[in-house]
Amino acid sequence: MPIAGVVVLTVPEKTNEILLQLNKIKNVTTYGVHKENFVVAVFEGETPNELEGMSDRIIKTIPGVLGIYPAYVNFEDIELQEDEEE
Amino acid sequence: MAISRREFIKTSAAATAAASIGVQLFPGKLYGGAFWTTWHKSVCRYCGVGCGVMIGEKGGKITAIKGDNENTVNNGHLCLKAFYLNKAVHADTRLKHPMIRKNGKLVKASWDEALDLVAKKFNEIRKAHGGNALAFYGSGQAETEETYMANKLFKGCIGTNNVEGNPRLCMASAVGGYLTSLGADEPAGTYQDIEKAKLFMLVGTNTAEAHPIVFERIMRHKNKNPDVKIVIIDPRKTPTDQVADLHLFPKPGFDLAVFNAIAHILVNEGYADESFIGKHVFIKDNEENKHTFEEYKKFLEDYTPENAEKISGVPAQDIIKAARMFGKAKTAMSMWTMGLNQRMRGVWANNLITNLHLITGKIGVPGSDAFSLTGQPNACGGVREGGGLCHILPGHHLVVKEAHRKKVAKVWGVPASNIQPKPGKHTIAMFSALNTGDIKGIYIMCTNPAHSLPNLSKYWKGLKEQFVVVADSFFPTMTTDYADVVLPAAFWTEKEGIYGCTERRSQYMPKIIDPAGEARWDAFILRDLGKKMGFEKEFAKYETAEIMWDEYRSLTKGKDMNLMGASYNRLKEVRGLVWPVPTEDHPGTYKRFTDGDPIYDALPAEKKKGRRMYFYGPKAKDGKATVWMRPHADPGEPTDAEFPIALTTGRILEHWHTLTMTGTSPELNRAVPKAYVEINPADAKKMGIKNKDQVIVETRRGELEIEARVIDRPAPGTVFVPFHWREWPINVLCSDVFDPGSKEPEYKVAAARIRKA
Repeated sequence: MPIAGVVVLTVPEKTNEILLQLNKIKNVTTYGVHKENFVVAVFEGETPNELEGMSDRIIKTIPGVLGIYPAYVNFEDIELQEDEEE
Repeated sequence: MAISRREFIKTSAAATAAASIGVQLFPGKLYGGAFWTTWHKSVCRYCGVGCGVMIGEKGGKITAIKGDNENTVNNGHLCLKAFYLNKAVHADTRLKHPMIRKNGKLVKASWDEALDLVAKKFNEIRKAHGGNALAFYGSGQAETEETYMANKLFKGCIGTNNVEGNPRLCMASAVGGYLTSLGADEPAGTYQDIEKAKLFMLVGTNTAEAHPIVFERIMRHKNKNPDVKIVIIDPRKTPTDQVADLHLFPKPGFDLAVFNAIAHILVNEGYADESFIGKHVFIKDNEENKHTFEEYKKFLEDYTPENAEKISGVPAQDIIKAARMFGKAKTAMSMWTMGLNQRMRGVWANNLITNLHLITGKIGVPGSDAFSLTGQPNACGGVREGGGLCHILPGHHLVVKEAHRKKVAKVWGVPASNIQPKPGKHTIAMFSALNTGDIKGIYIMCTNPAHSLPNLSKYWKGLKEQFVVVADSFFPTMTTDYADVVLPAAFWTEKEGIYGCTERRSQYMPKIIDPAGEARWDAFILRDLGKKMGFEKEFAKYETAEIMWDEYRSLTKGKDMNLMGASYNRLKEVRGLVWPVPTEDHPGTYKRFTDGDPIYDALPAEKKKGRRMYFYGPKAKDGKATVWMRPHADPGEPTDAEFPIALTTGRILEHWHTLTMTGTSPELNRAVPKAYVEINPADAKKMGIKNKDQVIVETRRGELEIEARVIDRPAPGTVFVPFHWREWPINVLCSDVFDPGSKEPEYKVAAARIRKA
């Protein structure tokens, strides 16, 4: 189940509204607005395509989203592994 | 507090994303990627931007990808294709063993069996019909070392210059443009200009979708500096428009008049830098006759904004506005891709963009450049620099120059007479020669021409009839459908080598995991084929990638693209080097032809006296660039009463080229599962077509049934179809007319008509 840390680049005047919209999406966790028009978020999906599809829908349906840029993508099948830091 | 492994990875992901914009999300905590993963510095496999990636490996698998935040190209960010990177490596469609066609079917074979057969057939053809009955067709996605081995085998040993690659289909017009305008291939500037530019002119490029990281850099710069302006010249509205200050919509193929009209305004309203022009520029017509600035002004009189409006459909006021924005901006950066290159007058279009920079002096200074964006990751490094086309040799050498042939032959250890003195067949001529039987055997590496050529179905005949060898990492492709022998090639992360990206930057990629199944590195496949063909001595020394790279870079010594300072040891440490980089202690070159360029700096003082640039490239004279008086020319197939709609094609954010890497499993295709034709709402209304209707798109070459997407993206009179899917091969409908200079086909304009299915 892939996990991606992404930066969402926004039109500055729409950033807060975009943050609200992102918070409504299943499997999206946000980590606040930074540097005026960046939202840091984590996307989770069953497949890489789900992450891509989620990103695609956000770009196409939420006005003011200029781009989504993954900075970290983990592809491990985490559910099959033990928690290592309990 | 206990934290689950999943939570830990989520937190790492968030922290890494935040760090990429200089934000510490969890002060005092150490997150930045899983500790149980081994990280390797590399380069993204997809487009020509050249983004640095950190590849996480665990247990022989690629398990994670990070943007490399030490890489100045992308500063830690990647685009959405990063989601596919590991999927491509471990895809079910990876080809894992050689195959030979027997009784019409491809069946598993051993390496010896497959290579022995190829060597035997190639030698038979060579003996019976000569070396020119063989050909090689490579790729801007192959590593430089791989193209280097192909060049030596075909040009140096077999003795044919029938060596081409798919960059002929995407970048050749940019090469022709740079050579004729600046005297040397590849841009004068680099990505560093982005953060210093006051105006961006984006021509025939959907930067937001096709080069997202370049777009992000432009956006970040514009957000910090609201006075930065963006002008788009493109027949289609794209996501890039969200930030445009002005968009000019020329009819496809009719923009040359617009560029000349912009120049008209620049010279008539006092924006020309006559001092720069006098010292740095020749003005020439198509016959290469020299002209004065006054004669150039007279030439431009035909291109008033009003006349350009009549030709292009762009309102005169918009042309004037764009010209004034360009003229007033202290610095300006033009960027373009296939909308300009894939044209019957692609070289002229490139010239006319560069003209705007040369007549205003907006070149050779920080923030100003005529900057061609590249489509493939190593089109610049492997093919343009590596000599992977029919007229060139490695290291910017030419087959027509005897001294160049002798120099390369000496390094290759072959007689100079082996290298033919005339260019071989360019791509369209090569596949035409397969149709006629003049070429009887072809080796295709890392590309899918049976899907990507224009006027596609015309060229399936030759592929069906002649002996076809395909080396690829994926199976099946439309090209393997025609193969007699299929060879499994190691993929990205399974081999080491060099990629050279858009900004003249060469970067090292390590081998991290073992190749899938029996796959082998393309360079070794070619080396071993050479040995089996009887060139044992010629290929004996190539035990490692580094030996190949070192031999190749020795051919760049003293050339404009000097890579002598870019050794493997150094490239393994740094985030690439931008040539010219003549010595191991040279940092690389930000701006060519001016202060800081080692070649410029070494010029005698008298040559540089009174000027700030010296264009020293092989095609330049007296250190001067050329402003070209190129007249307007219609596209090869303008619309008419019978075919009234202009068809244009391209790629989209979600997919890349012929889907071998982004269509590797069924679930990957769900986001954009099939092709569609974008139709402007006004046109759709006239034709009675509704969104999601099935329609027939037809050109003089055939027709295709496809779903309509009624959307305000293409301008009225224009439709757009992505070219990715084999089930909807739109290239069947494209014209294969090509630029007479660059030989690049005109994918971007075809006359079409549409009806409901």
